[in-house]
Amino acid sequence: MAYTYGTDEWEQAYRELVERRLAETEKPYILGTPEWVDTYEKLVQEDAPYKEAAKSWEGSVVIHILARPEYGLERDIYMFMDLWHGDCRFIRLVPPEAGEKGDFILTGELERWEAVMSGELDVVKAMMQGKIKLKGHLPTIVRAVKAATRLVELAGQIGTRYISQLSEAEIESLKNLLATSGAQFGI
Amino acid sequence: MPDKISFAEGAEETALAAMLAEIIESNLENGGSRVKAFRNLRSAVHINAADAGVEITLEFKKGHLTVHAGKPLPPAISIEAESATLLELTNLKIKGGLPFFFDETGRGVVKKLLRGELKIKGLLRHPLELVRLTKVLSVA
Repeated sequence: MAYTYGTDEWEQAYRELVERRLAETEKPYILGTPEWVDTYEKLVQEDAPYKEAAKSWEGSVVIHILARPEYGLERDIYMFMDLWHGDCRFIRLVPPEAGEKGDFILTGELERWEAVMSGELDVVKAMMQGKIKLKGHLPTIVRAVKAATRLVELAGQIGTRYISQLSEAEIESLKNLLATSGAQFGI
Repeated sequence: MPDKISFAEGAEETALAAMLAEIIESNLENGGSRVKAFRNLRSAVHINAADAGVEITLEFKKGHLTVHAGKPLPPAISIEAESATLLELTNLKIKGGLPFFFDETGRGVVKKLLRGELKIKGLLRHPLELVRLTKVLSVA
């Protein structure tokens, strides 16, 4: 069954998907999967340094990972973070049309994001090199650079299976997940 | 003459150039003392994000800024630091018309200057230009 993003049905079904996958999937989770995003959400919600750095922050931030079909990532991933004055209301995968409505959208290729999240590539450096592109009011995000950097550091604290390092079987599994979640949730 | 920012050939593709131009443009739109500082600037400023391997030159001429990739002309001021430190510079507060070094960001910048993690050539020869530059780049 296909759910419409923004409805209670979508919310409930997405929550059930997350709970099911948390119960069924072994750690470390694959980057960008619902269980990975849920783990990330909890980390951000509980992080005191983030809360302090982001206490004046208003607006949503979207991590946009570009598709990489050869690694099984057949569609772009939009990770939507609803952030408000140090609180993280939610982080979830959303359909592209919802992701594109984020206040700040950070777009990059899969390998760039993997390098950023594993700590190999500093996110500010990546932006200055054009490896990660920002859509949104730049001075606002520059003012909150500490909060933005902390968000990235937290992503690096999750034990992560990087998509570019998956086995053939894992790639197939990821493709199946994307096909199912795409059909049901548009994500 | 209206304030103007333009890119020399190829500069717009340099992300750092586009970022700094966007910050300055936004500051000019907000008006105030930053506009005055922009109109009084008349130096070339070389900025090198050493860790990113990206360098640009901002050529200010009384209300007109040309952003260049690389270092095509001799600068009066040269700033070299890691990418994150360069962004810290844009977070310096301006108080009483001067950069404020007594909050966390300001102290961090001073520490990096002392440790050599932030190198500014022309600091002593062009202090007023540096103050103006800090103003036009400040988002704080």
